[in-house]
Amino acid sequence: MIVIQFGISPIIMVVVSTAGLGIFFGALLGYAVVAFRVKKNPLVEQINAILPQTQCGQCGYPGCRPYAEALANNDEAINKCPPGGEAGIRALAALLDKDVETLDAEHGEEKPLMVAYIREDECIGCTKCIQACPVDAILGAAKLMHTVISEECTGCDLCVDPCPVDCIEMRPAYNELTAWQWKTPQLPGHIIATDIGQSATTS
Amino acid sequence: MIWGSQRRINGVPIMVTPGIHPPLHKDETRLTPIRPAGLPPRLILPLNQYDMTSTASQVTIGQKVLKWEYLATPNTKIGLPLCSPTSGTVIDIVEHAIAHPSGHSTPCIVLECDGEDSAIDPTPLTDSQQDDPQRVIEHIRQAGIVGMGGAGFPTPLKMLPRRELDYFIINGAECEPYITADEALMRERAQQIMAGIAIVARILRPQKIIVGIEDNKPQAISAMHAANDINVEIVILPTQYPAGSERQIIYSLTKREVVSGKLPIDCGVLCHSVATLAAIHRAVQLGEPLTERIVTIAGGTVAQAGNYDVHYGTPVDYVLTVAQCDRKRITRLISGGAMMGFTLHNDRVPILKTTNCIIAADKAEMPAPPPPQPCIRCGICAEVCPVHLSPQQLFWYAQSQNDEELERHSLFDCIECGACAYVCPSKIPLVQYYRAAKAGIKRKKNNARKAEQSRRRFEFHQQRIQLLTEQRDKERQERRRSRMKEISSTDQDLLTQAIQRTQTKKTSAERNAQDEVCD
Repeated sequence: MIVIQFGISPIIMVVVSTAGLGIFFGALLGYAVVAFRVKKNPLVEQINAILPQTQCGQCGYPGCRPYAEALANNDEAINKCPPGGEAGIRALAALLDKDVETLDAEHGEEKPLMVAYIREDECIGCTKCIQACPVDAILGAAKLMHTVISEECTGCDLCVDPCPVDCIEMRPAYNELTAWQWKTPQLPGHIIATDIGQSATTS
Repeated sequence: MIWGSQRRINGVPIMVTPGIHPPLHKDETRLTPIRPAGLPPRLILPLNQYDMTSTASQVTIGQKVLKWEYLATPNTKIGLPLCSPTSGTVIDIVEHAIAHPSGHSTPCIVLECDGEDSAIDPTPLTDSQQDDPQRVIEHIRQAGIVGMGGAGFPTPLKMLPRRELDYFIINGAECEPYITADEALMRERAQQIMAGIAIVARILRPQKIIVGIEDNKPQAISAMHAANDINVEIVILPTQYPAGSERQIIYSLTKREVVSGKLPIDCGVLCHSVATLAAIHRAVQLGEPLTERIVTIAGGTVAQAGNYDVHYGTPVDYVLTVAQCDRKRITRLISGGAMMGFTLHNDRVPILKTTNCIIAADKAEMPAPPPPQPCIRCGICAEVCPVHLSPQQLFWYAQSQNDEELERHSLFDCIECGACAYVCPSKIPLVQYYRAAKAGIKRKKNNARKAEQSRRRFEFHQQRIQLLTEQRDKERQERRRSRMKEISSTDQDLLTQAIQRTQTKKTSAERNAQDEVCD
């Protein structure tokens, strides 16, 4: 045996080589951690992709990303986003492996998409709504009329309260006709052919 | 992939896509000549047109208008103006129900007809003006012409020359049960259609012009042959539903497959319905905007079933009265054909440019659909699908709302013809599932796009605010520094003296206070 020829005891040889390998791979891992560090938390990104990005702050956080961060790091409840609604809660529950909950009524209720509308005759040009808008969707300058770019408006209604003359109102983004869509047929339950008569008598 | 199989008509081979052969019910309406429906007391003219592109009203309540005068101008690029179908007074602009599957309302101009039908002077194009494509297309836009076959896509948009045209297809198939409006038009007004073909051919210069007509319309075929003074090819198609669907008729007549996601024009093919071409002729050569169309009034409750010339905006109940319909017996009122039409919730809705048929069916004719049974995977639906989809597979995925698989199985290529639902032995309303699934996917995609846009704007907003505060802080510090420099050395001495004075004052005051406490 080679080890015996070199005159080192096999136990020491094993200890030294294992330690050496440990140090080597440890260093490699340590380097990898620094070199390939993921800058952003991927979970936060995934949660943020589910959130509706209205930036309305109804969840109690200043925007969707902060809520996503709280969900990822602080074990925040998933039912605080009214614009996301039931579908959003279901998607979050699936992603975070939590139970589906009903929307927390304290934070508001699920509503159809709205857009802000400025009654331009009444606007005094104070720029307060412009400062409140989280997505810069209001156009205007001091002492000049403001208007909402409705394509960009998320319907967060953060501009309504700051208005000193109450000239901003929230209007539905879609009218009856454009909001309408075909519905999945509601079938009276799948009946086995031989059971048709029976189901008729029971119902 | 091979789209269809070969069939022979009078010994001539023709390729056809799969389809069905439902009872056609055309004999009730095809035998009588086209009759005028007359003027109703009021017309209801919706301001929303194709795919809900809106127009802005140009008239005020109480205003008197003449026939063909503009009532509304488009808000969007693809919109078309609205012309008055007759003379009269605008009495209201209100929300009114329109012929739409939802039964919802939209803003409409209500016009009270004065019965005189006096028109403004028509402005046809002269012969030399008809050489200029831009001019002709603009004229067609001004006349408010849309595709009259069903979808109502604005005709001027379809005609913009985007590439060299190999084929110009004229669709006279009219494969849907009950409808005979195009057949009546071909039989009685073939010259108008041929004149329309000539106008389009002159500006777009197609290599080949083919008219496709189903073999169950012999009178229409012979009338078209008789009027054929411009030597277009007239091809007879086997009677089958849906032979007249755009992509299917293009395949039959040109053997070209319009693949998924492409438009016919991408394959060098343009397809118009016969009714659209007659409207183009009347607009360009007679100067009449599109304000009336032929509507088939059919169904078991109608005594005088047939084809009627109806003004755009005429309420359906008026037309039914003209056709001597026993309205108490109606169990289902349908706009469009028996396969692709939709149920009207209300008989006061107006006739639109795309309304080719009204079916007022009684109980025996259209009984309530039997309750759907479970899918037995028989596969008959896949055999009849003209687009070669797997309807049963789509049905499973639509039920489980598996959007990814639905798109992978080409849900969006479905033309909603209803052939699969027609042959389904379990009577499953398959098309309803596909329509709902399509709408759901579209909405989800739209929401995702909107969320992404908002996210980017929010991030930009935050960045902007941060930059702004940083800049402000920097400016403030700089101002402070420069002010400190301005203070000269003598000032500095005064400053230190002042500071010392206050300090000594403070210490003496403290000492006094301590003394008092000691006392």
